[in-house]
Amino acid sequence: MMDLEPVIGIEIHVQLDTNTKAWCNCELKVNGFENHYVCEVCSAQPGTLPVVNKQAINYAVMLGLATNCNINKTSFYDRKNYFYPDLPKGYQITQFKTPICEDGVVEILKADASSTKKIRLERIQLEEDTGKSTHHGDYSLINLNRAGTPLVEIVTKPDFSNAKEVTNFLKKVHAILVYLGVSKGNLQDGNMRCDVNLSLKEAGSTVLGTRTEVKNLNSYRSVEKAIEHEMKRQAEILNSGKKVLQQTLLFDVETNSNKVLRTKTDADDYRYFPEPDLMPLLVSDNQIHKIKENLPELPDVKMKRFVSEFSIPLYDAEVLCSDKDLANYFEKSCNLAGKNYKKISNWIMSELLKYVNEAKANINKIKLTPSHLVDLVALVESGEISGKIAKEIFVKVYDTGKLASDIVKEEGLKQNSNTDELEALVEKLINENPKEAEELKSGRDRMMGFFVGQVMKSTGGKANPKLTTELVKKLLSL
Amino acid sequence: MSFEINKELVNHIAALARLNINETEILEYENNFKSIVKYIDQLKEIDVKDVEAFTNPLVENIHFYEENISKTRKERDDVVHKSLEVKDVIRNAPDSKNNEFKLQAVIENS
Amino acid sequence: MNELDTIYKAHLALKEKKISSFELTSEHLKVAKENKNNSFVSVLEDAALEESKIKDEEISKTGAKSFLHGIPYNLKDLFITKNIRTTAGSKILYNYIPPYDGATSLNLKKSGAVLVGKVGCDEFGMGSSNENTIFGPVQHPLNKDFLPGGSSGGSAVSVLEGASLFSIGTDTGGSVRLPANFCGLVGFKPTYGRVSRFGQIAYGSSLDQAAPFAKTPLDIAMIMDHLSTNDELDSTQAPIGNMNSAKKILENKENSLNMTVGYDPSMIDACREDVKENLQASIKDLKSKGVKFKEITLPHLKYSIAVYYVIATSEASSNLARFDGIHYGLSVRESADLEETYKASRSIGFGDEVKRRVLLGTFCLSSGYADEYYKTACKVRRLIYNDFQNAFKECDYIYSPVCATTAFEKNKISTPLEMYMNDLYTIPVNLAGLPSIALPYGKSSMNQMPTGFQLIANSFKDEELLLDSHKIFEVLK
Repeated sequence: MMDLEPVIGIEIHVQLDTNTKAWCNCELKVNGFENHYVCEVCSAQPGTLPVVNKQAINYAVMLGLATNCNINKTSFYDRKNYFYPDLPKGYQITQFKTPICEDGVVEILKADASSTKKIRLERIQLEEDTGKSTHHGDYSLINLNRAGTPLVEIVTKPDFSNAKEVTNFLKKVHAILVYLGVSKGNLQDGNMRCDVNLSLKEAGSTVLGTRTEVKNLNSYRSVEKAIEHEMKRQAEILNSGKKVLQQTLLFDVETNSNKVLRTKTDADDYRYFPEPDLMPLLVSDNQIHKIKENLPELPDVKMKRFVSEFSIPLYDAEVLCSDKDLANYFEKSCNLAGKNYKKISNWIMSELLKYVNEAKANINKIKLTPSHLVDLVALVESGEISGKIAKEIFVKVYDTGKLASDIVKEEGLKQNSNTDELEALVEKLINENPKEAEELKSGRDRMMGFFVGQVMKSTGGKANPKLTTELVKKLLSL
Repeated sequence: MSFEINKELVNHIAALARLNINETEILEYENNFKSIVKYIDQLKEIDVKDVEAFTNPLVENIHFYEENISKTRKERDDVVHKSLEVKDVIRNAPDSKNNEFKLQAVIENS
Repeated sequence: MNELDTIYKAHLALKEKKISSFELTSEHLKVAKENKNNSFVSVLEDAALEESKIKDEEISKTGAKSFLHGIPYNLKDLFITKNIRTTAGSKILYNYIPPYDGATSLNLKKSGAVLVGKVGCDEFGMGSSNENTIFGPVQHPLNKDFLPGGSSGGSAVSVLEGASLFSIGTDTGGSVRLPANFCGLVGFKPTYGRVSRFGQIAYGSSLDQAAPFAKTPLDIAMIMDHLSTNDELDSTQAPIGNMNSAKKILENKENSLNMTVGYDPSMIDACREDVKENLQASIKDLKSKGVKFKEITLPHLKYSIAVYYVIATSEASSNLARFDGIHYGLSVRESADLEETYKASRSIGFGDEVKRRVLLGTFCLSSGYADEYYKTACKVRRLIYNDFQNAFKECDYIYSPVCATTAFEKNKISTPLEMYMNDLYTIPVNLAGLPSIALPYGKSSMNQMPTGFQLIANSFKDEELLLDSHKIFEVLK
């Protein structure tokens, strides 16, 4: 068996969230009534010509700046010629020779979250989406609502070492897109689409193997499964002494495996040439400067700021900053509390995200607002309620929007820190359970749990566990 | 010439262009091609090593009017205009169903 | 009627109420309907008469709003007209009814001109004889044995035969200047980017321009003032707005021909004897009227045809990919295989010359050959452009033949390459994107067919060229 390592690069197609299409003023409404958002230009009637959408250019520049690309002040549109029924012009307008952005870098978390790694971007190019075909047995239907949707294609260098890095990268790109507001960027909804190029080489060797391209990856899980499967598939081929063919594969969600779509041949001759219907794409220094000035704080910057400002671990910052709204929620909570930052992060990452994800809720619209969270955390940290009670209250706050402090008052859930009362309880317990008391005294520390548990039980969870432990120790002279 | 114009090449080009050509046409196009390509080959005698490609006259000619006007290029504002009526989108369609273009089954190939 | 043979004369008659647009339109429609020379593909009799009545009302109420108000005209069937069949002379668009209006159609609608019909042309503008069309060749009104030239043959013939006062053709490699020259008319190709191409069915996108036919340069100016309207839908049209050349011509008081015209004598020497005689006579004539001639050289022009057939066919191979039998146009669906639909629809829908050019263009762009052909051609195109720019340092205009021959007889041209050679003098102008006007001068001593020459100006000197052409036209009359 050869010692093989993967070389992985990806291409991401991102639909830009403009109001109108790339070359005409039709509204972008992919899911509207069939062919209701189509004009003579995007249905490629004879004689029609494209006119560039300014906003699409701005968005591409924003994305280029956010991913540390060089912005080409002059770039060009090209035609990629191929016949397909959802491509009514018979060619796609794209950027082949000189794209608008080149040579970028995106920092991602390594698979073990221990440190970060830089993924290099080869290029970001502007292009257009096709229409959509649906298949109905012996016939197909074409809907052109999507035809001419502005896209950017992001092409990375083959810098990924494993599937986890790829999904970390996709999540980072998603976050950047949403922070910038240039795309919804969801794999599930098709506004971000990912193709994986993968080959295997002998460990340590610089000779690259033949690569395949895997398409149809519409979830992070699919991406991971497809990469794992493709690594295995290629390894089996190579280990049996055969050759990997240059193929396009389709990931099958049902079987978690990749099926060969077609083998690349010289029929893939796209006959690229400069698009004569469009002028070169010019971006001025002034335009770049203006866009730069108005860029929002990006995930990486925010992450680093959270680590230093709120002293939370890198991993926490990564999770919190993967979503702009989540990051805002966290920061707002921290600013309200002025302390307990790591605790706030814990509550968000363990409890809040669980409920929000379960309900697929919008974090900006839930009843448990940052002030609710801060109130709850303060109650726990001051020892007024126990962690166990707090979790129960959390659900109530989440469901009702009442403040935790109010619920505590109403339901009398305040932690019992009355020493005399608790001491009497502990004393009674020791007397009733002499065997367990002896065991604890002789060094079986586990028995402490028994006593604290019993006190909790008889107080309905309200006993202060720390105080209870001290009292047991005191009475048993430990 | 680094290649030969033959039946295979004509067939390959016809396939790329999605044109059916029969045996007699192949022969005819092969001969047309030979004479046209031979004629075009005169371009190879020119030294164009340091010449930049010329792709659109307007790009070269902007300087003829640019100074006189503030706006020299056309880019659209991102504002929605009305699309065509759907009946007009498909009015020339050879076949349609439920306002969509209809054709024989396509094997999915994205 | 016959004396109202120009836009300007008809305009004055309309203004002075000597004739109505209805009468003028009716007279022209009569010739169009007769269609003796097969110039018309569609005659819009009812619509045109209806329109002419509206124009008469408008003119009687508020006067003529433009020189074209109430004037009957037609469009080459390569211009998209909303709800009016537009075929490009092709079987593949035989039943195509556009859902939108192109810029040319809209600009002329706004001018108040009356559209009497759509005229024939070589399929997709590909040809120099007007024989490559599903509607059959257009005949030369002066002699049935001759062809009017193409690709805008129907346009030239319709104006010459009196079916319209003007027509708009398209000029990609000479398709307006050549038939204008063969028919003794004035044909004007504007600077690339002076008019909108939106709604003009594309052949060679970096070469195509809408181009008018009329009887005088003044008429051409009146048309160009409308065609040059800025159109936000064509990114390759310079956003510089309308020309105002008709007014400038009419108000011009300076009639001296104080200009320097460059010419390359070898280009004239290469023409057929009868054509050469008339070209030399015209130069002599112009010199005697004060025009200064200066010899220039344009060393790379000899490569023009090679460059043109690479670039134009490459662009065409891509432009014509949309005709696939799925979204509109002829569709041949005899097989369950989509690929067969593409192939059958295109093979049956396109004529031989179109197929030849699509194949040639596909070849020139295909991997392995693009560097050798497409890229090299684009580079040589720059050398041709530079030749012109160098020449314009020494002269105001360049004088050139339009064609080495007069209109040619039917069935005389045997190979495609021989046909392509007819455009030797017109093609360089399209490659460089320059404005050029074809002006008539004399008749051939050999066959009595019209002859003429073209004047080429530098980019965006369209107005100057029209003004000086007007002066030249008047003194040579």
